[in-house]
Amino acid sequence: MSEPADTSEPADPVGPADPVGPSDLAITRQVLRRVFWRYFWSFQVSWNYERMQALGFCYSMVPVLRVLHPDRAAFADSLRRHLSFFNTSPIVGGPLILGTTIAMEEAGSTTSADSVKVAMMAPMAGIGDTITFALYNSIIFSIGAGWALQGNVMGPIFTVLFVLIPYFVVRWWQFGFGYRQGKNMVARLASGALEKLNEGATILGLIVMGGFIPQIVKIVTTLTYQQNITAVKPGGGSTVVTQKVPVQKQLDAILPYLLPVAITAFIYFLLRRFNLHPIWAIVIVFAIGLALGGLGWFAKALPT
Amino acid sequence: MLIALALTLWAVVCIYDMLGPTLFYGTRPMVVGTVAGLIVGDLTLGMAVGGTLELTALGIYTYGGASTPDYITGAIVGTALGHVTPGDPGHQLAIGLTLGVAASLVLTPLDPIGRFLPTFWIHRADRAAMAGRTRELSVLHWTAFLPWAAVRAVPTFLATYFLNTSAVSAIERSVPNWFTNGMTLVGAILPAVGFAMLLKLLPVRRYWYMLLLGYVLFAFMKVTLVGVTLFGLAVAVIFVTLKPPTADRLTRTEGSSDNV
Repeated sequence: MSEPADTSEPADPVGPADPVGPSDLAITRQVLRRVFWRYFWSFQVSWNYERMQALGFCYSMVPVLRVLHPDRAAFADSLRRHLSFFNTSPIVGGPLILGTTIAMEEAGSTTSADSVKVAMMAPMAGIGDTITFALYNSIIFSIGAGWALQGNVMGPIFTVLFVLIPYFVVRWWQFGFGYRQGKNMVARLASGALEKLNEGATILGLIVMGGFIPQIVKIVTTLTYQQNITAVKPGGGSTVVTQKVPVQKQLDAILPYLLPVAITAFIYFLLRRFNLHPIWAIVIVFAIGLALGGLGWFAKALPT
Repeated sequence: MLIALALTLWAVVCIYDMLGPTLFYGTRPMVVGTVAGLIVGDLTLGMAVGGTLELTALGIYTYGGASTPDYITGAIVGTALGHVTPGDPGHQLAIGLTLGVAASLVLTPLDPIGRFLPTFWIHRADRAAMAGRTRELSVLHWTAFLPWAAVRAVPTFLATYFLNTSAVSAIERSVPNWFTNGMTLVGAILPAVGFAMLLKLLPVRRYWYMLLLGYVLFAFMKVTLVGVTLFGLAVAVIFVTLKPPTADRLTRTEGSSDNV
């Protein structure tokens, strides 16, 4: 199953053309298992704003990289490569990408290992978070919380069991699946299958993100402006009434979720045009948020 | 003292569970509150505080690294302070919930600090990787968890050790109003950075209309995110199927001799 490439397989179509060539240093089941447990027990413990899950990914890869790169300089270089920015859904996505990356790395195609990480992490973040949070968790936890409120201990127990078992199984399965499919992907790189998969996943990811951004990023303006209206008195004659109109209402009429989309576009523009360091983007958002929120002109949501 | 230490340890275990093994989903208030109830010796109160917070927070998850109200500390502090409040269970629950929600919100600004500090670790990790020092890499990886743990452990210990109801409300009062408002907005717009970073990695210029599609579905047609995802899946399949085959068909008819 997840055994390394069998030599009895029909001629590997990618092998000879690859600049490095597939490694003959076999990755054993034991090594794969060590990677999985490293991922399982600690994937996000070093999560940070700058590179998010990068160190966790690199740490998990160490057993494999050590086998594949006996040369010290090559080993150090592989560690450096896997320390680049990485973030995806840790439950549905993380193990899949990890398994796929190992297969690519084993096949000696380090560039495709790097590019498959980048190509898969964003769509898997959107898909994985939606599956685990929006779909699965909301059902499991609302059932459990309902029972807990009635004083039924089965509520928490039910929820814990439905986290413990499926969450483990889905990660274990993905890891093996990613590794096996990763080998196939390398073999079919030239047939464009991976390109198709990447393209499909990218499209799915972009569509999901188009819906995600206005849902998750929350900002509204609490500003109002005065408007004079000539009202007709019931007994005849007219009077000028001053009315307060919320600006947010006008914005919603132009385009719903205009502000969340605008602020995301603004940061995207900063990152792209000026190649801004993410830390600076965070600092800028902190400053803008604290200023606008502190002044009371903008808020997370309109007061009800 | 012993109970305060046990609750503090529980807070650390919970955040570790979320970042690491996810055995019981340590950031969800129901599980957190139930065990906190067991620790203080009032299981029913713990389940009630945790369960209520759970339903309030349903659908609040951290996407792309956004800060959410700290329900771990909230559920623990709420349960512990509700337990020491004199009165009948109903009153204890009301007090516990008020203080639990207040603690979750007041402590939210600490979360970005816990997420920011490990950045210093990663720069040291770069140097360790460059030299191929894996032991140092491992130590850095695990110790980068300390800021995450500290921003929960310290407030939990302080709040539960000085077990009195006035402590939390005093903290709440001492924070100026404008700062709380500002930090609430910061927490609400910070996900934009994560999204922008992801967008930078994607071919937005080529497929900008796909973003637009998701936006229109959600913003104008009020389709839920599950709906948007399923629609996206269908579009992705249709798109790659209908796309005129380029090198793809050629290589397939030529069999395995597709080396370039």
